[in-house]
Amino acid sequence: MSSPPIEYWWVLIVGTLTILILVFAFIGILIINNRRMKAERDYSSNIVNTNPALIVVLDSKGEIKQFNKTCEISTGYSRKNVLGRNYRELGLFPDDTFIKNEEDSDKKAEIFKPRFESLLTAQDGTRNIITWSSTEVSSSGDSNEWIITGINITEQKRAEEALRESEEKFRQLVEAAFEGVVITKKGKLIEVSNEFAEMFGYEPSKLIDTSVADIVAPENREETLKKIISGFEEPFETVGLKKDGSRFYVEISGKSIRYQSENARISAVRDISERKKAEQELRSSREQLRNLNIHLQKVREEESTRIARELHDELGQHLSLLKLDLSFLESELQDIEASYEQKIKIMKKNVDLTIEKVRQISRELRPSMLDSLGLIPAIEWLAEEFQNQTGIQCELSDKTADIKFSEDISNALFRVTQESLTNVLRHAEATKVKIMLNVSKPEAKINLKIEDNGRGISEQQMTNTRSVGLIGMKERVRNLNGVFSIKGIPNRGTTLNVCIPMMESS
Amino acid sequence: MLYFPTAIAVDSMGIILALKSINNLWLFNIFTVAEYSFFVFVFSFWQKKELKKKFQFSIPLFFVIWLTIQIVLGTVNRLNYLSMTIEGILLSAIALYTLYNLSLKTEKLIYKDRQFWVAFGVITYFMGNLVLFSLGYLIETQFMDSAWIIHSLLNIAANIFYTGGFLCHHPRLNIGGS
Repeated sequence: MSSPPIEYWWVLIVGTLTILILVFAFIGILIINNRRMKAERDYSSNIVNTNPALIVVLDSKGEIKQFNKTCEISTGYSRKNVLGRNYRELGLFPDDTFIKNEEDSDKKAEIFKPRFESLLTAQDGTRNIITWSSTEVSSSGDSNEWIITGINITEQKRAEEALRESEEKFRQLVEAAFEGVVITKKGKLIEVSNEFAEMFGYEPSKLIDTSVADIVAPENREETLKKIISGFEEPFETVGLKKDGSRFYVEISGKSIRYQSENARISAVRDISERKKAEQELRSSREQLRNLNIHLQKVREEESTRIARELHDELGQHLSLLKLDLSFLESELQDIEASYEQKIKIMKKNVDLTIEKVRQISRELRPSMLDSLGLIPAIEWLAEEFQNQTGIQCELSDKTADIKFSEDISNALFRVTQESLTNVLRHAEATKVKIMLNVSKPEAKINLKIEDNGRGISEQQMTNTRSVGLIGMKERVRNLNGVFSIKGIPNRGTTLNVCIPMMESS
Repeated sequence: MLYFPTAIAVDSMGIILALKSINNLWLFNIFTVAEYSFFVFVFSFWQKKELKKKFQFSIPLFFVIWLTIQIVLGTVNRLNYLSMTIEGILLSAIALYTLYNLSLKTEKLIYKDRQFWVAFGVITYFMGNLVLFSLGYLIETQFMDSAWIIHSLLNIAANIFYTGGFLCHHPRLNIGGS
């Protein structure tokens, strides 16, 4: 067998090697390209699988090409089991998801709905509401694919439902409230209850978007708006303006809230016209009572003065005459029996006692020195009398610098001191009383302080409505726009303070 | 699986006939048709429906060409380089197309698929032998005998690649890893 020529070998080997190199190079390019595409696909798959949205890729026949991790969790199906299966078998989407393509009749007869919602039941029976959106993409093959992305909105739906229920309950509560309820945002009414609208004489719908300023009396607008906008949470009163222009008093108590994801303010509005009227009537009644009390005190003082004068001038004079007559009779009847003489002496003594008693009653009714010498000597006399009669040490400290007080002040302070000393005697079991009088010049006020070292007035005694003496003292001081206070410390005594403005009272 | 026992049987029979000094070229000549039919059949399974039918339709077509060549050239008792060249071109084209399509699929790496190894083996064998077969048709037969060593080397390489395909098919012996 002859060997082939060398050219033959060259052609054979070089030709074969060239073809093989070309083939291997081609395959090498395919491998590199495939690796690159695989890496890109893995990258995309990772994005798809780690995406919290449900992602399903279907081919044009409805077979599942991609099924991400979230889909597995939401449906209970494993990716391996569903790939290649038709979505209809799994009931992933509603039956009416594929719709007729009415936009472009030349193209596909059916297309996926761009957006739809479905109730997805997982294998374990869990139900989730999913909102889907679909997109058609061109695939590597001759037919297109559908990428369907879903978001689980179950929690969102539940939250919306809960919010709706909550708002409904809130509305019912508001409507059931006796007070008018209003929600305002930036000074505008955004929700009103029927009660509120009725209060202002409007239909509820007419008040929506109305400014708060429109339903408040002009003179109160600025202050009311300031309080509402600043989030003032204490109850406050203002004057409301009704649709017909009439005004009425309202009490508003509000609180800042979050409403429809925004800062707002809820306020309870109460019509307090009736209360205001009652308050006014009460105030008027008190004023009348006070005036009546002042009048009665004045009348009593005048009456006491008159009786004291009558007793002193008339009865005292008659008794003095009677005593003179008895003295005359005693001197004229020299030879009368001793028994008659004795009787006349007894009669004279009784007349003296009666005169003294009349003087005492007269002084107590209205000490004449209060009118003739003034407050301080009258109190000095009172203190001395008190000490003499009771044996309780009574001191007077006077720092009034001989100021002349008005008759009203003198009467009030004298009577307060008199009543106070009576109380010390009756209740305090004290051994010492101190009366202090001074004038605070800048304020032009006279201060009276009476303190004892007795057992101390109790809280119960102070608030007892039957303590007529205390009530009388308070009323006297209040009538002169003064301040009355009393404080007791157990076993350490009682302190009474009176402060009366001199200018006003005079 | 069917191809390898058939190939072994044909080669064994060829050796036996050669040892008995009987012409065995007719056997390899007929095997060309069987070989083409087998590979086209295998590759058609990996194609989509439409292409599958077209591939399978090429089998009787190739048979007609082969038969025509036999009748016209009267080469039954000789190696028919012309039909072998045509077979090589057709199978290489089919294998390249399969490889290209395979490279577009990204579910797994191309060399982890048995299609790759089978196509790689087919391309190596038939493309490699293309020069040999075409020269064999053009050059005198006596010069070809010593050149068959190239064919043997390519045949060994192709069979190694086919083995890779078998390993890919086995889930535990998957070549290249997972």
